[in-house]
Amino acid sequence: MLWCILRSCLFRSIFAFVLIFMITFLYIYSGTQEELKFFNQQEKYISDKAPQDFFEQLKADEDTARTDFYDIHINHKGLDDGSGNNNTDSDNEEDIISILSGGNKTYSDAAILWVKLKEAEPGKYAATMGEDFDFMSFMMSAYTPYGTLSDFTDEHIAANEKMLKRTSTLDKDKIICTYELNLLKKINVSPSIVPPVSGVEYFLKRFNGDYIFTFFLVLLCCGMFAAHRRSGYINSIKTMKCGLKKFIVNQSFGHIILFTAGYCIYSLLYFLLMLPYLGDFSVLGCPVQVLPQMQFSVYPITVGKYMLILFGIKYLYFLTVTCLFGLISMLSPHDMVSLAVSGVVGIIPLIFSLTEAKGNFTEAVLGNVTSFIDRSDISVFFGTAIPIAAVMSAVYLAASAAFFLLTYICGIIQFRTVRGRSVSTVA
Amino acid sequence: MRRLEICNITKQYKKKKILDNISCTFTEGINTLLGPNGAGKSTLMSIISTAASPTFGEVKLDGEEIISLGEKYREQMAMLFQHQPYFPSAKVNEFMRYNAELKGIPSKTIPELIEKALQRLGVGECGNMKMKELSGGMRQRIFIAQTIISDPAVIILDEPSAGLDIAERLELKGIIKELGRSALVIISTHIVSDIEDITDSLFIIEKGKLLWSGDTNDVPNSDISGFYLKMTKGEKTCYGAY
Repeated sequence: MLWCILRSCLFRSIFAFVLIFMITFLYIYSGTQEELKFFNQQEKYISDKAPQDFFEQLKADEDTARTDFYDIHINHKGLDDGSGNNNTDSDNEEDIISILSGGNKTYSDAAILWVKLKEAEPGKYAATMGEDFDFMSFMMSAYTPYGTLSDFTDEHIAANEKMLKRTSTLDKDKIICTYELNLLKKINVSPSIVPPVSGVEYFLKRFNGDYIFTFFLVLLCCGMFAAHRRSGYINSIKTMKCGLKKFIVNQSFGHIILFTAGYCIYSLLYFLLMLPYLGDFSVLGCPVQVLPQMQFSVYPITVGKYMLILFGIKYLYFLTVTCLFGLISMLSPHDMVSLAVSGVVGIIPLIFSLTEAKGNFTEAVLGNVTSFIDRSDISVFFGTAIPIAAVMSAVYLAASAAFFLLTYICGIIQFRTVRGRSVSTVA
Repeated sequence: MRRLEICNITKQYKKKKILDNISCTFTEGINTLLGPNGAGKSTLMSIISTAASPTFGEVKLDGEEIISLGEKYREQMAMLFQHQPYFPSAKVNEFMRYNAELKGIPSKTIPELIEKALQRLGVGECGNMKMKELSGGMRQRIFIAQTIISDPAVIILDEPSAGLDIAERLELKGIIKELGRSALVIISTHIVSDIEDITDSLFIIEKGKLLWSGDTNDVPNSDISGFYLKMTKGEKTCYGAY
């Protein structure tokens, strides 16, 4: 039965797939060169450690960075130790620094806290605090084994040296500059591997920001039920013993199989198209923290696994969309109506991204799933105990199941045959 | 003996009555609904097959209301629609299997039943052909084969001879005659020659009303054609019961 459904939809699917893939092809190659030039200039030093070793090292380095930062403030900037005895105007700032650098918070939690505090009460915190925090961030990335941008290290060293040479510099500043210089010079400037991380970054940005596949689903699913209704086949199906129930289930699964096949081929072709920009394959085995958007991640996974997780989450996202389009097709009297409604619904995420990106189309297309996954505040909400990927997967699966159930119920209600009113009522 | 009773069936679309208080009883053998195009035959067939709901009235199989019987009724009944949809790119065996699964036939028995049904209709060699490659007559046989695959007790054939040439119509007559030996067959048509010689009971419908119903033996001189013309032209003067 499924085979029959697959066969009947095959030509439509192939046509839709070729059409959508051609658009994707154009999308990938339009404006690619400039972005690649930019990324190629930003090669990063990354670790060749196994993810688990890397992860342990990361935590140790995070502690070192935090201690050093705290050390600067307590020993060289004249702040107290957080005991609260010194009740001055600067106490509030001291507490914030304590929150940021002390306690058992992860670095990413501290970073989010800082941003939220700043946004909640703009102008309250001194600009120097921001600078301090930036330095802490810089030190953090400098210490960790995924390395740093040597240019920035040089810049910091140069700035501190310049400050030291200035005759008007206060003693206190001299101490801080010397201290920072010592820390900066500890940074390892001889990386073990130099793969272009930018390629993976670019690939992920493109892949996750690609909504074009949604329109393959629009074309595939518009006739899922509406076409049978239009052709009258639904009447024939209704007269069969398990007709309607089996039909809805099989038709849905048939389309899910086609979508899955389409998605796998699409992703594979995408990968092949982007292959020249991925760079060295060895980067796939590196810890995920080498990627800027995941540098504070607490999960010990490789870049390759991260890509697979994104692939999986995106699959579940499209599964939800497929089920939603199935529901639209069930409610539509004609496949053209279904096509139009699904098309409008499918374009909503794009419009939403456009609004988010304030009209920048490229930005809108690029940033969505990745940015959503990297919403560290959601991680904080779940206490970082539940991987965000698992939460998103559960949400998408629940949504898919709900849409499928709605399609089933709507189908049964819409097409059921009811008894005629009794003749006595007429009389 | 199976009995299918139509009790005061009325079908109304907005204010227009498609069927107007029709009551009759179909029994085992071949029952023919005869009437011009637009008389309401297909609507009545749809109601009998549970594809459509009546506005008023009910249909009973052996005294039980068919909507209440639900799957039990649909298990015993099969319908061939006037414009039977199909998958053009599907093979005959796949199409048959698709319908057999929707009819709830156990998977294991399906291949055997498909072969049996195709053999019965004389199209046993067509199993691996695509539906779109078949001639109109052959395709109609396949449709009938899928209708009878579950060996139903009630077979409803809506204009089964539509689109067939004379030779194919004659062959179809033979097939229907054979089906009528073991099941309650209801055929709707507007072509008298399609059912002449084979029908057991006749039901003449026009403008949604049942003009005449009865045994074919009640038709004078066995001239169904002439009788039908007289009935539909308003010369309802003489024969049988209304």
